[in-house]
Formats: sequence, structure tokens, C-alpha cells
Amino acid sequence: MELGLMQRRLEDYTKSLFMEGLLDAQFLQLQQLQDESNPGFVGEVVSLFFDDSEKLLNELTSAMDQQIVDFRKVDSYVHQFKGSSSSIGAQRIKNVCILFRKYIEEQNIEACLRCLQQVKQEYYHVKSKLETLFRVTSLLNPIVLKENLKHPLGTDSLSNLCQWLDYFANTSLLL
Amino acid sequence: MEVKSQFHVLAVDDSLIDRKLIERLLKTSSYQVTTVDSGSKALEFLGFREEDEQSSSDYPSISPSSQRVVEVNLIITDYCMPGMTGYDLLKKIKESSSLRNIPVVIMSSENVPSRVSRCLEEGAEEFFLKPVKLSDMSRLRPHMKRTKLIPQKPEPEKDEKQEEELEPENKHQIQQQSNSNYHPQTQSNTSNNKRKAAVEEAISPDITTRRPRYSGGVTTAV
Repeated sequence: MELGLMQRRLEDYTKSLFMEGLLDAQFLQLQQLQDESNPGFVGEVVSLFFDDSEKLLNELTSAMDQQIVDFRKVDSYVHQFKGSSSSIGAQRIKNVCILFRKYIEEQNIEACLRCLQQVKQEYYHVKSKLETLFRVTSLLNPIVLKENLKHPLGTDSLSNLCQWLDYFANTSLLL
Repeated sequence: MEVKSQFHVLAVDDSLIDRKLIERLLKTSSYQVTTVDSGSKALEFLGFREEDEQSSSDYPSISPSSQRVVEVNLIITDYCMPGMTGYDLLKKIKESSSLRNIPVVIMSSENVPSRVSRCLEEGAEEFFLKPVKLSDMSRLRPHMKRTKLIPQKPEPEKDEKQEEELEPENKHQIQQQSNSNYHPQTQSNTSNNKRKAAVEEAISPDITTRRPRYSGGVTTAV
């Protein structure tokens, strides 16, 4: 099975994330900051983002759930989320946060609740995509690949990988 | 080849992600970096004392004769921070006789003209819109060079020749927190600068005038 083909599939998958607007140019910046001396940089930043976001979303949910909503607090959380999503290039999350802040200013609870829902959806969506991206990227890591080839079932693993890449490349295009 | 790094930047941001980012950006640009998560920690690191503006010798490896603990050539700080904002920090630095010569750059996720002008009026050298990019890093060097004690000859950015200094730089790295991990610069500067140049070519900069910076819309790349 051709390595070049698999890499191209991975590139297509990555491209689709940009085309869908899930990721923006800032993500490219992160990739450019990654090199041999810092091979895990993007993964580390994204991982921090996931941890941070889970906490933020919990706090947000709790804050919005109060009898009397403290909008200043809610705004602070959304501001943070806007910042962190912007820093990693998670464009759709950032955009929902911008809208969210508008409704916070208006103290429009219904709209805020809708935004909270939406921001969660966007978060889980991009999280799933990025996790796939990293999983597949690590499988294509030359060292891992070499190990797979040594294994008697090496060919099977590779063909499975191709199918997997095909599947994800196609599903993202269906969205 | 180990190159002696010339410039030390103190980065202040309450966001862990942004600290990681700015640290990487600065290190990629061959600066030494220390990160702290608040304005008060920044002042502490700088040895700022409200009463007498003299540094204390709380840090072990300091010679008693040095006023400031570590030489800092530039401070880059987030604007929006709980407690002491970046603006408050800027003010304190500019009001301090020992610290006012250190150039300060403000970063903000919000493009508010009045905020920008307020910071510049208070003495900030630059106002960066977040997320900060690699291309922004080149704007830091001119400000840092001015802080060196001897008059600077203009030199190309790509060649980091060791400059002569009247005072030796204090090389002690003080860990303020676990994430200000400092590694001696072992990567060659040429590869950094080549990559940096390539990056700057690849990314079409939306730089018109940066002072004040009103641009900064992020475009989706394909």
C-alpha cells in the first residue's frame, strides 16, 4: 500500500477541516511552530485547549444554571473561551463566543442558553475531528509505520489504515 | 553549536495556552523567555519594590551587588488579566525608575482603539492583536536593541553575532513556575531564521500600519 497515498488522504482530511471553517490560519501558525526540536507542540497546545475547555464549559453551564445569572461571570468565561479557541484556530467556536458575548451584553438569557448549546456542539465537533487527525497522524509517523511493517500482520494494519483514512476523508466531505 | 542568546523576554499572560504559544513564538525567534501568569509575579520577577525600588536578594544565585536580578530586555504582556491588568503593569513599570527603560508590548484579543491609544500613550512600544503571530516577532527586536548599553550598528536580522557589552548579562535562569521551562538554545539560528523567513513568505501578512493595529482579521486558509 502506497505511503504517499495515505499521506495525501491525510492532507485531504486536514484540508477539509479548513474548508469547513472549523480551523483557521492560526492552526497553520501552530503547525509552523512545530519542528524537530518541538515535535509535539501542536498536540500539546491542543491538549491544553481540551482540558481548559472542559473546565470552562462546566463552569459556564453551572453559571447559566443559576436562579439569578451572574452575567459578568458568564462573560468572563466566554471571553476566556473566545481567547483560547482563537489561539488554536478553532474558528467556529470563536465565532459562537463572539455572538454569545453580544447576548450576554443584552442579558438575553434565552439566546445565551442557545449559544451555550451551540458552543458545546462546536467544541465537541472540532474535538472529535482533531483527535482523529492526531490519531491518524501518529499512525503515519515513520517510526510507528516501520514497526507495523515488521509485524507479520503489517500489511493488514496498513490496509486498515487506508480504509480508515478513506472513511474519514469521505465523511468529512459529506458534512 | 550553542549560541549565546542575547535577549531575554518576560512574557505575562494569565492564559496557560497563550503562555505556551508566546513562549514558543519567542523561542523560535531565538529569545530567552520567562513566563509568568500575573502582573504581580512579573513585578516580583523584576525585583520591583514599591518602597525603595531596589531588588531583594530572595533568589539564591544573585551577587549582592546587582540591583536587578536578571536582565530583561522586553516585557510582553496580555492586557486583560484578573487583578492587575496589563495596563496597570505597564503603568507601574513606567513609573519605576529602575524599570522604566524596559520596553513593554501589550497583547490583546480586543481591537479597541481607545485601549490601543491609552497603552501607547502610557509608553507601550507596540500593541499586538491576539493571536500573536510569528510575523509579529520581528517587531520586537528594534525595541530590545535600544536597551543595550552600547550604540547599535544596524545589522541583518539573520546573523546573530555576539555583540560586545559593557556589562555581562546575568545568565541565571529563575524558574517562576513549572511551565517556564527554559532550555539552552541548541538549535541553530540559521534554521530558525530560514524557517521564519519561509513562514513569513507563506503567510500573507495583513500588515498595513501596525501602530495602531486595527487589522487582524483571521482568514480561513485552505
